[in-house]
Amino acid sequence: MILIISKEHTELSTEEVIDWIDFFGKDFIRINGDEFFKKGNVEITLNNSELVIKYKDIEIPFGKINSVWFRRWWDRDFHDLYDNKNINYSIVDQLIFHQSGNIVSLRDLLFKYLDKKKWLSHPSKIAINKIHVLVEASKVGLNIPETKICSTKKELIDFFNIHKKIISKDLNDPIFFFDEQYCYTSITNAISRQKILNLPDEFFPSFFQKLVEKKFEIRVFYLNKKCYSMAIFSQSDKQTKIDFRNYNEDKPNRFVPYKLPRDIEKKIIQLMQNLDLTTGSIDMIKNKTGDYIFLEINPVGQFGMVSKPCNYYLEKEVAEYLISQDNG
Amino acid sequence: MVVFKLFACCIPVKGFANYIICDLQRAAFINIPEVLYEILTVHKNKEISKIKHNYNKENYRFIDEYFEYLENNEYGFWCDIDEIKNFPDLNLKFESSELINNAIIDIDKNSKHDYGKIFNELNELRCKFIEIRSFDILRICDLCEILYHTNSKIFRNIDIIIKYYRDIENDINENKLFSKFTNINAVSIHSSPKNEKSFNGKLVYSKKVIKTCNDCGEIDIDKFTLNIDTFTEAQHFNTCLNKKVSIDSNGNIKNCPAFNYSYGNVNEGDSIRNVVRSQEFSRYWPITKDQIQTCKDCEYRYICSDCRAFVDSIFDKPKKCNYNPYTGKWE
Repeated sequence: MILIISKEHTELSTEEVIDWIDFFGKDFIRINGDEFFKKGNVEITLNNSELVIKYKDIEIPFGKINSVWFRRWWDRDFHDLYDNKNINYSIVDQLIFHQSGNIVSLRDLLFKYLDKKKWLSHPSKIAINKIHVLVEASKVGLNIPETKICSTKKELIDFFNIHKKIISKDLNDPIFFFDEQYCYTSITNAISRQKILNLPDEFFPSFFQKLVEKKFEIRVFYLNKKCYSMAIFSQSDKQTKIDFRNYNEDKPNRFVPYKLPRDIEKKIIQLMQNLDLTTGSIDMIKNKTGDYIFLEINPVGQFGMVSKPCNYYLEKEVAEYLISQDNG
Repeated sequence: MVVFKLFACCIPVKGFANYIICDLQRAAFINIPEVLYEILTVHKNKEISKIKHNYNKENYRFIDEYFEYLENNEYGFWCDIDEIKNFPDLNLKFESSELINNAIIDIDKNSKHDYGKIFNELNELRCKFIEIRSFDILRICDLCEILYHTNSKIFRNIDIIIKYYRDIENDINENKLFSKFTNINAVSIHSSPKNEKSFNGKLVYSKKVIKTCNDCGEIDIDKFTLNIDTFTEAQHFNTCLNKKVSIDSNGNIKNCPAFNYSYGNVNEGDSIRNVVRSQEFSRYWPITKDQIQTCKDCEYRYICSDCRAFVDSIFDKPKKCNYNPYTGKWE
């Protein structure tokens, strides 16, 4: 049996993989991380040495599960846990901090009992470090952008003076803030001289890279030693020039199937094996002089955005992989 | 050295008289002259100087203009000759994990549907798209009673088509229709006194009268679908019938509600699941537009809605289509 660990909403790719698993007549159960902790959904019983975890009144059949697909867990959204609006906010903050510790220990308990299963991909492998990945990418012979992490204006000005055009991005995953009207997110930004001059002398350690002049971007969905690539023509549109995620809804960037040269694919496969990753989404740039520049890996990246424009049926590929793991 | 390449999602299609490029990403098409179609297909991936060899000198200027137009309007790009192999064509395969993808449920004042049973069966079939269509007045509170049966099911999108009555907008507000049933895609109101949209386009008034399931099947440029799903499906299947089930107002289980023949009746205890699994039910699904008289010569054949109900024979052009691909004109 396949266990799918996902979220309740905004997971169209998950739904489609499930459709294929069902099409092939394979059993599965799905746990949504955000629902797991909602009132009334989870029950854990210790019968002497036996542990029983029930989710929505269904006992998780640990013995029957061979393959685990880990999509995402929960988005640190605790609104539902607190409905008393009268609590002082600072106490709420402390409660949330405390409660998140409780949630982590419950989650870890669940994951511990699944430890020996075949995961795509185990949460411990997903927590990769962007800088470490760049070092490893460079080791297998992929080109990477000149990179600097610094926390003083002086060092940043030196870096800027060498490269003239630089960008900043998140050291970790991008963050999303929501209010009633908008969703705010951190994306890659160009850093001008003026922006640097406006900075204080010292700031939080931040991640800077030389801007790579793009011919086009490449997004690769990697699964089990195969690369499914797509070119993104984000260069001609000012809005998407630095980061194509700054979507132009009226005139979407051109997304077309792309076939990476075999030697680049081999290096990617080597890199993913060195990082012990079975799947992931890889961002690359083909620069103006025709070189392929590696940017980063997202181990749980969305693959629908590659699958649909390229007609790759990646949802089916993922389902078939999970089934092969479950059978094997 | 460079060649001009269309983006893989921009696909030229030849008709008898006219030629178009289907832009499957931006959901649009443009007409192109025959000579440009030839350049983009017969002379695909050739350098511009080699293409020009095939034409008279006085046409060179036009060839340059064509490419300029296509580049400026983002239908394609100049590609290094060494990189052609890195830009494959779009694979036009079509696969589906579903036996049934969409269902139409017709209702009139005499209908006695068991909605609980219908939606349970459609849910088991993993059917994603539902259309509920009422020819007579169906009050919003009664519609809600029907829609309660769709709760906690797999349905991704529900489209509603109902007949106009005076307090309809008020009833929608009072019953909180859109916030209660968030998977409603749109509510279309036929036989309205006006053509208008409200609720952010979710409520659409139309003067068009829909009295029976026979008020359907018109071929209209506004109803063309330009996306990869439909275009690839049209290469292999009939986009009007493939993976579709209908429950007509009498409960008959049909492929298209306007078909005369039914394969069972839900209200008489027949199972939708069993019916759609029979070989006979899906026998027309593999009829592509490439096999249909007249349509096979039409440049719109992979984006057209088609209709297999109002035809002289199953391999004939839809009766309610006024386009003549041999003259290239709507008549």
